[in-house]
Amino acid sequence: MNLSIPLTPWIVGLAGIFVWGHLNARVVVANEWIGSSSCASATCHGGTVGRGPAWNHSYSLSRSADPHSTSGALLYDTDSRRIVAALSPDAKSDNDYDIVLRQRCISCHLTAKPEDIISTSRLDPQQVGEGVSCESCHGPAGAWLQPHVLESWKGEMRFQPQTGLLDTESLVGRAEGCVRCHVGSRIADGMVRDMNHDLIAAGHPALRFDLLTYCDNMPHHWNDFGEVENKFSESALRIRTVGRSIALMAAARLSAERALDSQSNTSSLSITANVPWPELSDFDCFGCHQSLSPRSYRPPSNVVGKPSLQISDGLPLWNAWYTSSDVSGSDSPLWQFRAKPSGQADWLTAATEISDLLRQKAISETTAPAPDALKRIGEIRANISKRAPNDWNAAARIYLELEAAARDISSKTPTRALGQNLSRSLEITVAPMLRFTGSDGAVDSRTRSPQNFDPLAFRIQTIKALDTLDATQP
Amino acid sequence: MLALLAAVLAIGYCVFVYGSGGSSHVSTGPVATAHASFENDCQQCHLDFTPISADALRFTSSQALDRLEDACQKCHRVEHHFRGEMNPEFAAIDQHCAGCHHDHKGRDHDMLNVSSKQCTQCHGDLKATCTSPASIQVNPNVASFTAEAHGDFVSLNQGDPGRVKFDHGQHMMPGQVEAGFKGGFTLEMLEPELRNGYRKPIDGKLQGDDALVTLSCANCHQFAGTTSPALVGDDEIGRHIAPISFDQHCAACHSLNAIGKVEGTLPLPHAAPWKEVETLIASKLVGGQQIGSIRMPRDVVRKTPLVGEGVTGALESVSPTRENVDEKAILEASVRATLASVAQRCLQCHAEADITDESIASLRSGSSPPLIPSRWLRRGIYDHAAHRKVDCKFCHAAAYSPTVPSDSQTGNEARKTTKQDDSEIVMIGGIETCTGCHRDSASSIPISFADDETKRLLGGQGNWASDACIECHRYHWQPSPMSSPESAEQQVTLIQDASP
Repeated sequence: MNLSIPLTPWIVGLAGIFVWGHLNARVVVANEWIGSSSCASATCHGGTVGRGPAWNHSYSLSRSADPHSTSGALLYDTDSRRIVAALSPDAKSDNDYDIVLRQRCISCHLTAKPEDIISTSRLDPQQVGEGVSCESCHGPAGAWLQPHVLESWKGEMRFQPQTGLLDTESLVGRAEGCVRCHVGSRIADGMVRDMNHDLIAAGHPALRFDLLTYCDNMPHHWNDFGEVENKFSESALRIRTVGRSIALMAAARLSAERALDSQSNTSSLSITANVPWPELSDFDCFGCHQSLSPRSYRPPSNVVGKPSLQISDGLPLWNAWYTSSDVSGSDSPLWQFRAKPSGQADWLTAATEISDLLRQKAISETTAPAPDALKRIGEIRANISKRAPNDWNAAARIYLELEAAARDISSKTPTRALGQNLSRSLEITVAPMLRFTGSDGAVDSRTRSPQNFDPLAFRIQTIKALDTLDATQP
Repeated sequence: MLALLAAVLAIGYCVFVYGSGGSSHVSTGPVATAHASFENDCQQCHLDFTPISADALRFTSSQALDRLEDACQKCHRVEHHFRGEMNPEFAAIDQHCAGCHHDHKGRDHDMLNVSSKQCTQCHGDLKATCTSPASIQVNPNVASFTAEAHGDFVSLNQGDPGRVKFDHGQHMMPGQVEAGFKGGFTLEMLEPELRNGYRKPIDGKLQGDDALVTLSCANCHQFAGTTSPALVGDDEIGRHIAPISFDQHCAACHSLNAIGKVEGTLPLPHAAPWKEVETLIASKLVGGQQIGSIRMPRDVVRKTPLVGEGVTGALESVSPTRENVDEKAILEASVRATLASVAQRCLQCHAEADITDESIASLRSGSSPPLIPSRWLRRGIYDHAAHRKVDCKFCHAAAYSPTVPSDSQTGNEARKTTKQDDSEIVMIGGIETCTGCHRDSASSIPISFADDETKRLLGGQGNWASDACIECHRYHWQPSPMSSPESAEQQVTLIQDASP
């Protein structure tokens, strides 16, 4: 260890990592994996989709329509083979291919256990075929399978660490379940789930998690009108905000775990070996992956004041998808997350602090009254009137907040028409501005960037869309 | 002189015949209705001047008995009764029908109504009857039908040979869940066309679709038999209970839809060879994907586009076409996963050894015993139809947990125990459930019959019935589907189940 590194940040950081690791690894120690077949009986969760209560066909729906159920099978399609070839050009044989999948992919693409990662045998087609199945999100069922059918099995006690059941009923719990893969972690469940720069460069799409969008798109194998979901349907804005906080929390932890592993002296065979620092996927893709041609070099207008940090300045923001709007100056705690060739210890300290803060913030948001959608729209409108978004990420966040606010307005009878009009305007005029494809017309995700995104045009269109509120109001 | 001698002999014979027993030595009376067509054709059964009655031994000959035997067996082909293990004296009795079945007793005489005395002449002391007393597998001294003299049923001592895991108590719960459990099975979870079969009347109205499925014994145990007159009445409808069939009795709740059951998908056949199951799964996967009921990898199902990448918001692949998908590898993985899921479901009820192709083939061919025996009384028979007034619980109490309502009751009372496999329990009552009614006519009514619960369970059935051996036992076991201990009917059902 470099003795010049201050010890305090290391101690704090390591303590934080230890606590995370302990909490996240609990399910591996405490519980047995049962497999989804035990859920699939027609009398349990394998009933006919659309018939009877949602719990009776939750497995059927997942199996037939949920992308999670095919996430294993697609590891053998052409895109995946291309990614593996880029990651490990020598992995020519079927066995070597599977070893790469084990080390790099299955922790997210399958319901996997730590021993699955280190095995050197071929993958079990059954495991592949099941993809991400029940226990990935609900936790290994060894300890909760029997009691979960009892009338007395209710309340918070179900989610105690010793049960192994993961909390999918609270907003924070559900988000934390998703981010284990959709953001990543190097320690949760005793496995590495790290969508790093190597994988993205090899062709895997970069991860930009949004809880509300993902919940929308996942076939609902739960009762949309039950007590649990009522909490979710109360406010789309809240889901989006909490989801963002938890995702950023996970991103901060992942950064810290990368920092720690980059200092590791473990052998080259270990999954914690050869972790680069800085890890480029911690930063905004488009901070670096942008054309340097004059046509695409479009600094935002300084008419209304240029922000201190923006991608166009060539400074890649840390987790810009979540943070872009929040890094307005050196007083921001996010300012500490800047790409530096060393400084892992500082990173650990900052990540510990910020992740704790974000989690507390998320919990507070779930217990606070639902955000006032109209008020939030007013705030956004005021801000965007003063200044165009810093970059594509900031614009995307504005769009997502407005879109959620429009849903909330639509959900209330007096303002339904208002919300629907805003939703339509956003969908037709604003969302297309955020779309981007490859610079040369190719659809390879590696060449995609919002190079033609125009913050000023976005600002104008967004204000126009918000004007529909005035036109609709009586 | 010869004429005189003939006359003397004739007169002497008449004196002998009438003087020592009357006309019965010539003809003991009209033959039974079934034999009435032979009434005037004595030689069909008899030799001239060779009576077969036991008190006419002076003139009896083995030829006479053989003649009669041949006549009987022209129509009645029955098995002998352990004749090879009998001493010669008893073997001779077994050989000759008339030893038990007496004709010439009038048109209405029931020749099958054999006196218990005919049975106990051997079974009263089987050791004296048999050539190898050591090989006797039943009670060697049965003189009457009492617990002491007859002993309990063999099945109760030998255990249940069935190999299907089952919990009767749980299935008798409303919704098939115990008290304190959630997730009861409701009618709306069944196929619409099957619901009425399980709908029960409550307070004069049929249950709605949201009602818990509440099974009665008859949902699974149904009378079997034939309505056409049988030569031997043991196969009359109601005499037996039909074998359990997966398709008929289980599939409504436990259908084998392994690939995400969506409306209109066909369940997999039960007890089909694994290769057939595999092929069907593959075709169901491909078919389901073609009609859009099953998702393929990279199929776009998003209703809310992701912000940013791609024209549509879908995460478009490098070459977003079907050609990009390695269909074979994906299909193989999906089929393997689904097969494993199916096997896991099989194991909920079956032992691993019973779901191999070899075991299934053996069951289908009838070369191995059925997984659920069709009969538990190994040596006796029981007429369910004759006892239809009696509540099932009277004899099958073990199928009910202590707090489960009996079949004729309604209510939500439920047991407090956890799920159990009761397949090793023989769920028939012991001899004490029979002897209360089937007793010597001179004996008194059991005290237990005064109990209100017993009265209710008996359902008004009379409290006396014959204790004759033939009420439950048959002398000539035949390989009838319903009466054989290992019923071929079960195999037939299994094969029907297996046919797609």
